[in-house]
Amino acid sequence: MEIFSNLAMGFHQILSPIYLLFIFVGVLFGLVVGALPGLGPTAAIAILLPLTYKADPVLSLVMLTGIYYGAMFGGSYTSIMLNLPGESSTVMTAVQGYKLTRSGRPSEAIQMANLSSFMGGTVSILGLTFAAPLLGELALEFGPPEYFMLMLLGLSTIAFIGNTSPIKGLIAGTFGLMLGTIGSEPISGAQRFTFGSYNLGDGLPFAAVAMGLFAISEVLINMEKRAKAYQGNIEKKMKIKFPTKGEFRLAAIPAVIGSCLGFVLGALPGVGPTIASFMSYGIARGRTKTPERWENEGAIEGITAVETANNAAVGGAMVPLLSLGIPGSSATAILLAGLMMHGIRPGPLLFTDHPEIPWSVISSMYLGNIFAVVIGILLSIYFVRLLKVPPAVLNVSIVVVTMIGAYSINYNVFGIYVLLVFGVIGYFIKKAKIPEAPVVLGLVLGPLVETSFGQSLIMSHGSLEIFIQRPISAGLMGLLIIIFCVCLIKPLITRFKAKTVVK
Amino acid sequence: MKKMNIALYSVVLVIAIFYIYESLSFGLWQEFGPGPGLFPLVLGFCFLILGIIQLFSDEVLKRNTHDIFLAKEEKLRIISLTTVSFLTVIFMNIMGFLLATILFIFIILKCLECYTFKQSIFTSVVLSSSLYILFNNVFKLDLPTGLLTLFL
Repeated sequence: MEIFSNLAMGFHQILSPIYLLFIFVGVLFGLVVGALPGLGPTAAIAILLPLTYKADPVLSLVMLTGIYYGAMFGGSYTSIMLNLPGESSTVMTAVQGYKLTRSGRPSEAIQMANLSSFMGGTVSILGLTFAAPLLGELALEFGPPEYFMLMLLGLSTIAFIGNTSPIKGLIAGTFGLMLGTIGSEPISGAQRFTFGSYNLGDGLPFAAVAMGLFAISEVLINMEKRAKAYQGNIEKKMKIKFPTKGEFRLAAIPAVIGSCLGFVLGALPGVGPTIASFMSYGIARGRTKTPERWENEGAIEGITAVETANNAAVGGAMVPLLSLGIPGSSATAILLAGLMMHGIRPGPLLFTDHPEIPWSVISSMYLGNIFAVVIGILLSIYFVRLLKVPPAVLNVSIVVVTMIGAYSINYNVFGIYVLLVFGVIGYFIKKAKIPEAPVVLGLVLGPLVETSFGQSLIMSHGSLEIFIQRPISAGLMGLLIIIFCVCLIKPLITRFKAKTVVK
Repeated sequence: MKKMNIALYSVVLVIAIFYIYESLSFGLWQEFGPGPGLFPLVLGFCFLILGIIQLFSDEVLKRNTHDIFLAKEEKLRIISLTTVSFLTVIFMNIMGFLLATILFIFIILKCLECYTFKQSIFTSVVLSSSLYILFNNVFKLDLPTGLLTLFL
């Protein structure tokens, strides 16, 4: 019952014109950016983050969360109509969606994507409503050693999962942690790696680093490739057509599986929407009795499987962020940074000390999801037309907007220098196929990891045994060791086997 | 590209060594617990070991590794964009945000994207002014006005 009264409190706060406006703007911006190939939810949140500095913290978070799921919604439109997936989690939407477009059913495919995204989103928000406070209560038992292990586990899984090379993922994560050590040491306050610069005293401006790594590096890649505006035909008008009742029936089970899978996998660090969408698609494809339809004219339930899963992952990803204060993805890492800039530290105490913050965010997600589906149904065709905007104009606009964002962090051009330097670093990182997400996560978690590590050692008078003496910490450490062994030793065994076969 | 990969991971090693060296100067242990240098030292060693493993991996040392960088012309575009961006920031405090970004957009569109003079000037003025009005006047972010305001 307490959950419902808290939810009512959240709704009471957000049902005011200013909140509704911020949710609407966030969702709309997310839909627009999500429709553009290359710029995903992480870049979208990073670009708008500095603009929320002057706003009320809850208002900012509500808008940034709106961008997050708005971008997830928008990712499917260009995949279905033009076979251009905006991000990795919509790749499988393009496979079935584009077949349906060629079969003359683009509108049905898009509306199914909208409705599936809505369903996935709603199921995951329901899950978030019940799971986050429960996990928060459980996390009250956690001390510094448990938090240290939990954060290491999160960082390691993000470094390992979904990357071709675990070593590259670890290099990225360690680099992020190293960047997090610049500035004041969290326990003693000693200055480190500042080289006498006053600007580095508080550490690297996180938003500038994130914008550089995700937005500027993408601009550099686009400039290098001489990206051109979409040359094909885009329909100017499209009637809104919904799938048939039979198709809805066919899509019901993939929708339920996709929503549940997306929520659970989204809550796990490093797994996120891409893996959830691929798995959900695979299950739906395996269950079908008409595989030839999937191969030829396209299966509408394939879109449902993907879109429910990748949207449900958003709500899942918010669970560890709100209840433990530990982000499981680069997008939630930026949300965490946004909260910390307003002096709010998410975690188990957030639900007891400042319940209006998490509950307003959760309530806004219910409402934002409705906004997203309505805007999506009515305007999806116009979002696809954004591809006609010349990339050169889009690129310079992104550079200028991010410059404004980086400047407004401290009203100092130092932020812009950081933005550009990390844009170049991000470009090289992308070129070398090193993942950027662990860098961002390492930077955000760095001071927290160091604090919990230091506190643990102070508690144990310098003994590392504290990490194995406490059962939860020991369990997490065991899990960490298993993950390391599986991810690092497995490729070695595979290589050894391959060499033996060649010989 | 073997050379470029080697260069990249050599930079990783140099950073790791420098980082370890610096972290030693902060002190590793204090009376009450770990000193400011302990955590960076651990990280530095992890970075060094990972860098060495990657530098000597098949991916880097194989001769037929694909070229991670493109042709000379593309490289030149990247260098030009980066240089113009840095120059824009340098001149932003003098010229102000509006003038600096108008020039930035104009140079990029005219020189790198081969837009016509009219197109470049129109796009740069319209885009820069709209963003300036939106962020400076609507969002109330005080963007740099530069020294030029002294003469106005």
